Order: sequence, then structure tokens, then C-alpha cells
Amino acid sequence: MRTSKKSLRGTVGTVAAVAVLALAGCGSSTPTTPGGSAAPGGMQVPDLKALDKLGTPEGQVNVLAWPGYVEDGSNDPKVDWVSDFEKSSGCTVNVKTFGTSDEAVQLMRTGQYDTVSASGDATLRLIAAGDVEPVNTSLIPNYADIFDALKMKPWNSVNGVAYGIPHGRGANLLMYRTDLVKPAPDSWAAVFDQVGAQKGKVTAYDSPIYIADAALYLMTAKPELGIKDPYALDEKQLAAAVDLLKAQKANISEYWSDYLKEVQAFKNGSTTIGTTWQVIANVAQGEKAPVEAVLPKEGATGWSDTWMVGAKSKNKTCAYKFIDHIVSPKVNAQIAEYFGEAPANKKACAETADPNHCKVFHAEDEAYFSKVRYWNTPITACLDGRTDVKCTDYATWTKAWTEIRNS
Amino acid sequence: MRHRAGLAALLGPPMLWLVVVYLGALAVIFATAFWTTDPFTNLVLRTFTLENFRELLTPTYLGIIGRTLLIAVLVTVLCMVIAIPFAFFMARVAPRRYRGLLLAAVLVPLWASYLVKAYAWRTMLQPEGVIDSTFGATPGFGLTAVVLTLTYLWLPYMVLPVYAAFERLPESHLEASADLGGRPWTTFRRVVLPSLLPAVAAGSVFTFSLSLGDYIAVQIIGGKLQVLGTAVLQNITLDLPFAAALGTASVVIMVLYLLAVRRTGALENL
Amino acid sequence: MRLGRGAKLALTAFATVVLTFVYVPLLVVGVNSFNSDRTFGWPPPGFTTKWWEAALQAQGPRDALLTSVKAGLGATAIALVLGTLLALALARYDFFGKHAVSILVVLPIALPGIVTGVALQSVIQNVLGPVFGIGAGLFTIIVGHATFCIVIAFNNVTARLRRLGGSLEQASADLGARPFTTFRRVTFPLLRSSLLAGALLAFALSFDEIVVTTFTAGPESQTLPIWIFNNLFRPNQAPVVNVVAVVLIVLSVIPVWLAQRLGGADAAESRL
Repeated sequence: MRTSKKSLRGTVGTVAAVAVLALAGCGSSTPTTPGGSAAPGGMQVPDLKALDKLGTPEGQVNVLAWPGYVEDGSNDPKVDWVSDFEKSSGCTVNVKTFGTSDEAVQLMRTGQYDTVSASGDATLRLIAAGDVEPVNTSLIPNYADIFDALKMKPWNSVNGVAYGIPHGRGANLLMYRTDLVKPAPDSWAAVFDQVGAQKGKVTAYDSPIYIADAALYLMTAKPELGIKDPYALDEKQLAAAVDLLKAQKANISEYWSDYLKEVQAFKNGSTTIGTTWQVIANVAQGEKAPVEAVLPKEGATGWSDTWMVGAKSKNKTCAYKFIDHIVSPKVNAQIAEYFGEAPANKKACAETADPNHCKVFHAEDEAYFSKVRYWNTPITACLDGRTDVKCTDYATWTKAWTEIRNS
Repeated sequence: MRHRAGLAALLGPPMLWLVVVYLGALAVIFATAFWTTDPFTNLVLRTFTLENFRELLTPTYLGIIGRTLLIAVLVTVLCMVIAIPFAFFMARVAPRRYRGLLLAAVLVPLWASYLVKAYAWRTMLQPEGVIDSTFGATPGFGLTAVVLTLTYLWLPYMVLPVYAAFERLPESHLEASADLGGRPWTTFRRVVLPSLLPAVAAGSVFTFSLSLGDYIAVQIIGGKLQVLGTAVLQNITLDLPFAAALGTASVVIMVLYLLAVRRTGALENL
Repeated sequence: MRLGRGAKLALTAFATVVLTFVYVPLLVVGVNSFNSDRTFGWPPPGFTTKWWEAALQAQGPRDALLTSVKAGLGATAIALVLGTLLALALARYDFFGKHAVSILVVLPIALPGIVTGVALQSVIQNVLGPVFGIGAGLFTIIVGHATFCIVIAFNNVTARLRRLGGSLEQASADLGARPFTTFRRVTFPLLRSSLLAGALLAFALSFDEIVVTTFTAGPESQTLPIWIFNNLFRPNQAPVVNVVAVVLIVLSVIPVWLAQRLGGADAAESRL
């Protein structure tokens, strides 16, 4: 490019203007507030207060949800658990869906959303960054009926302060083609080091959180590594998981993150074995694919989603009313059936259209869920309580995942 | 005086928009490439670092950049190879009354959703899908699938400018060449191609840049492929500065490409 | 150029293959909109019209279509004004940095959408929101789309201006017309058809844009591509998305036909 003196000066001007803009611009970069309290693991939490009482409804609530969690009838007039709420509460519900936990964090950070259905791999990040605030559970009458096993867990509370209302849960199961995979697998080894004839036909969830699945397998396959919690890996343990996943990559047909893709792959046989959600297995079976989903003997990772309230929300009363509505027995049952997971509300099991729903999804089966390690956010302070070593955080996991995908 | 005022009135609003809204926004993002993040909250911390760029130069990311470039180049070349004879057919061989129809046939797919088209290619490429049942084999999901699908998606962007160039080409030039004894192939090479170059370059700006930045189609039909777009996406929430550094890499590639292409006069031909 | 029969035949055959390549996937979408398999397994196990019935009842895609049309019209209008101003400035005046401007105007469309999207999102979050109280929504979608559509209007107008030269405007000015009168009575009528061609392309580009929109759309505003993105991956909704796509393809005949009618003889001149 030709450069004249004049245009050079122009450039300097532009750069200066841009610098000012940049300084004025990045408000999102507030470091953690010094007044924050420290959690046991050294987790700094911004000092935010929960709402102490409900006000008058603000007229609307902006909801960020997993697809299928909040249906307003716009896709299918028969699937609508929002319109009645809108009439009775006076809060118009605007729903935006997200595809991954990372996307949820990203969107929540814009401050435009009043409430979010966050999975465990997102909750701690949102809490620590001050994107969400504590929740006053006494303002949510339906909280009383939530399964106790889901309340005040490491992914939805910090220092005994509740940050959200449980919504539903499920396990990441092992799905396989019954006609092509023989004998029926009962161990994650079938997707890691005993792939055998399924070479090139394995699928895995396309997210850094999948590293936990490898870690979970290593807990029993290589006890000498001393992994106690698949979300608390020190550098050596992470390296072992990464090696396992790199070796697995040679056997992968494709990684999945949307479930249409996975159902298709299992149906046409380009994939024969891999991690799945119960709902995907149900859809595939509904479409006559010969598949089965099992909880392997090592246990499994899983999710327990939480409704959280945005710290910058301008519609908190509506947000509380909305959350209370969404975890109410009837609605919680409808969602659990539509989405395909175990409801969080005990009374929901009596409300499902399919009387067997809670049984199929093991909603009341605590022995089943005791084998499930719910998604949590890995942080530098080890979640398993170790203090002599630093653990790897989620950013490190992300880098590792890119490296695995690219190996 | 009048001259300056007129220029300012014309240039003011668009430049204000492009410089303030667009360049301003870009500058903010690139500035963050020199910052770091809080390891836990993933919030951006304004501490100067070159670490993001150092990491960009590790084999993992150089591999991703190289692979993405390869895809963009392959897609662009394929689009050229298909578009030039096809546009020539539209403009010079097909009967004049069908030209409008042919042009419409090229434009219609642009209105069918990009996502739906990408997913349609899953049905095309999957085992026992359309390609497999027609030809008895399928490339499956991966690099080949991505190149094929992206070529499909961006082809109209190459056909249109090339077609326009063929239309503009005066018949008399071609006849002169023929009269001087040039064989069709010689005429094509010596007369047609040079006047085509700017149009092809213009089309390539689209095919190249759209392929360079794509991540959605790659997720749908890329199998386990990792490209620049997917890497940026993975890092946006967790490590915005690093995502910005990755973004900078694609911007640098694109600006270099534009500067190179400008020499052909393509930018006036977009 | 005189081509032999063989060459002509070969080219015709090639063009047929290309058109097949272009239309087979669209045909697949059409077939899948009747596929009884919720995940459109291939070959289709059976056919049904239930997806069409569901789509006819659904409010979501219609609302999204309306948002998309609004966004497309808004973005096109802004892009036309800004692009025309810029084209006039570059065609009529000489000034420093003229070449840089011609690169600058291409940048928004040439840079990966994800970069443009993230950049605009940070402006919305940090400047538009706190300073002007404008949150992400239809307005910000329009801003984003207009930014990368400017170049389309700019190119169409520039091409026309270059062909016209400045003599008519010169004559108008010599006859005593003020600049604005000249623009209204002389320049604009001459530009009209190229503006329309540019408008249609800009609208098309905005209509199918997804990446930048993902980052600039707010909770209440959902364009059609975003709706498709949100629904395509869900087995209960994906077949409905196929129906919407088929409807779009059919509807696209309208703008394409418009382009042909309005552009007419100038079709070849319309620029991307």
C-alpha cells in the first residue's frame, strides 16, 4: 500500500481514537471484587445479595435455556408451558436457546438475560464471574418439593449459599448398536482401550467436559493415578486422560454435540458405539434403530441443571415467578418428558403423561444416580479437597481438548 | 471550498459508520489479544502478554491454520474450475432466451437456508445416503466432505461475477482473435482469461473468505475435523484473548489476500 | 469465439452436471420434508404430510420470517444510502486514502463472520448498552447486517457511475441546477436499476446470515436462520425445518423474478 505522510498521520489518529475506545470499551473485564468471600477451595465469590422479597412483576423475563426446556407453543401449539404463565403472572417470556454450556456462559455474560438453565460445567464460572447472584429459595414455594439429593450441591451452591434451583438430571450413557456390537458392552473400555471391531465407529461428546469421561474411566482402569473426582485432575492425571483421548481419536468416526447428528449416525451405522443421553437413545429406538443405552459398571458422568438468576437482571420478580412455575410439579413433568430427563420435583412423577417416565429415567432411583458424577467446572483449587497440588482448570481443559481434536 | 464540503458530506456518514462501528469494534477485539484471562472466571484481565501469539505458533495451531488455508484454497480452486466453463456456457453457448432462466437457477439456491443445505449434505454423504447408493461409495465425513459442501455452498458467489465478465466481453474481441487465426483454445487463453481474471479474483474473495471463517458446516459434516473457525468458537467464552489472537490470524490472512487480489483490479469487480 | 459442435456439446453436458450438483441436495431437502423418519434417515422409510401440517400451524417460523424481513429491509436501506454516498465520493473526488477506503468497505464481508460478530458484540455490550441504553435486538441485527451489505450497494453504484461518466451531471450543473437537484433529477434516475439490483443482493445476504446474527441478536429477536439453527438439531423439529426450507426455495422465485424484471438487460451488471 502506498503511504503518504498525510495518511500516516491519519493512521496515528485512528490508532489513538481506537485506544480510547478500547479503554472505554472493555467493561466486561472487571476483576473479581476485592470484597468477595473466599470458599474453602480458595474460590473467590463476588459479594452479591439474593433478592429478599418479590416486587411487582416487571412485565417480561428474558430466559436462556437448553433447547426443549422452555417451549412456548411457537413450534408446536400443543407443547406450550409458557402461555398460561404469561397470562397469570403478567410476565412476557422471551426465550433464547443455546447449544453448549460455553455458549450459555457467553450469552449470560451479556447481561441481557434474567435467568438461565445452567449445567454444572457452567454454574461455577457464572457464579465466580458475578454473572449470577444467590437465590432466595424461600421465594420459590416449589423448592420444598425438589429431591434433596439435588439441593445444595457443589455445582449449585457456594459456602452454603444457594445459587440456583435444580431443574432435572440425567446420565451420559453408553449407547451401542445391538446388532453390530457383540457381546453387549458393560464398561467404558469399549470406547477407550478395548474398541476391537468398532474401530472407526466410536463417537464422543464434542466438548472439553468429555475429558471427565476419560478420567472417570481411568479411576478404575488405572487406580495408581489416584483420581478421586473426574473434575479434579492435577497435571499428571490430566495428561493421562489426554493420552487416552488422543489414542481414542483414531477410533472415532465423528464427535457429536447435537442429537440429530448422533441419531442419524447410529441409524445409518457410521457410528456403532459411544456416549449418549437417554433422550437420544429413546429417539433412536423410536425410529427403529437397534440400539441400547446402558450405565456402565464404572458409573458415568451426568448433568444436573440449575435455574439461576442474572446479577444484572432488571426483571427479577418475573424471573423468580418464572423459575417457580418451571419447577412446579406439572410443568416440570411436561418438560422432563419432552426433553427426556429425570425431573427435579418429587411430585412431578405423579404428573407425567407416561406413568413409567420416572422409572425409565430413574428419577427416584438414588442408587442409580449415586453412580453418576454430575458435570462440574474444574478449577485450580482441587474440587476433591486436595491442597498439596494444583488442579487443572477448565481453560486448560479447553486447550487440551483442542489439542486432542487436532492430534 | 465547495469541493471539500461536498466530499465531506458524501464521505462523512459512511466513513463514520465503517470506522467507528466497524474498525472500532475490530480494534477492541484485537487489543484483547494482548490481554490475559482470569483462570477461573475466564474474564478478561487487562494485563499485557504476548503469550496468546506465542501459543498460536505451536504446532497444534499452525496445523489448524494450515489445514484451514488448504480447505479455503481447494474450495476456491474447485469453484473456479466449475464456474468458468459453466458461466461461459451460460453467457456464450446457451441460447439467449434461456440465459435469464439459467441465471435464476444459479440464484435460487442462495435463498435456501445455508444450514438446511449443509444438513442436506449429511444425507448426501452418509453411508447408504444419496452418493453412496448412487456411486457405491462415499467419502464420508471429513476434509473431503467439507471441501465438497463448501464448494457447493459458495459456488453461486463465483458464478455470478464470472458470468458478468463473460457478458461484458465484446464479441468483436473474440472474432478479431479468431480472424487473426487464433484457435478457440488460444483465444480463450490469450483474450478471454485476462479479461476474466478480475472477475475470478472477485469471486475468490467470497469463496476464500467464507471458507476461511466457516465453522457451522464443518461441525455438521466435518467429522472430527478441526479448523480455525471451530477453534475460535471453542475459545470465545473461555479465553477471549486467545480467540482474538486466532481471529487476528484469519484477519491477517484475509487482508494479505485482499491486497494481493487488489492488484488484479478485483475489488472494483466485486 | 466459434466453438465446434463437440466443444458445445461438452459444455452443455458439463452445465447439466453442474445444475444436477446444485439441485440434488435441494431435492433431498424436499423429499425429507415428507420423510416419515424424524431424523430423516435415508432412504426414507415412508412418507407423511404431518411435518407440513405442523409447519402450517407453527407460529415460530412465521414470526422469525417477519423479523428476518424487517432486518433485511432495514439493513438494505442503510446499506444503500451509505454505499451510494461512498460510491459518489469515490467516483467524483480525489482524496488521500482513497485506496484504503476501497479495502475498508470490503473488509466487513471479507473477514470471517465470527470475527465481525464477536467485535460487534463487544461494542453492543460495552458501548451501545451502557452508554446509549441500546441492548441487542432487531436494531443491532440491522447494524451488523448493514455493515457487511454496504459493499454490495457500493459496488453496484460504482460500476454504474463508471459507465455513465460525469457528463450528464456536468450538463445539469451548467444549466444552473443545484447539487441536490442534479442528484434527484439526473443521477438518481440513472442509478435506479443498479440500486435495485444491489438492494436485492443485499437483502439476500442479510436474509441468510447466521454467524454475525448469532452474536448481535437479543432475546426477543429471532431471525429465520437463528430459528432454523435452534430447531434443526432437535429430532421433533428438524423435519419442520425442512418444510420451511422448501417454502423458502419456492418463495425465492419472487425476488429472483423481480431481479430479472427490474434488472432486465442489466442483469449481467449486477454485482455481488
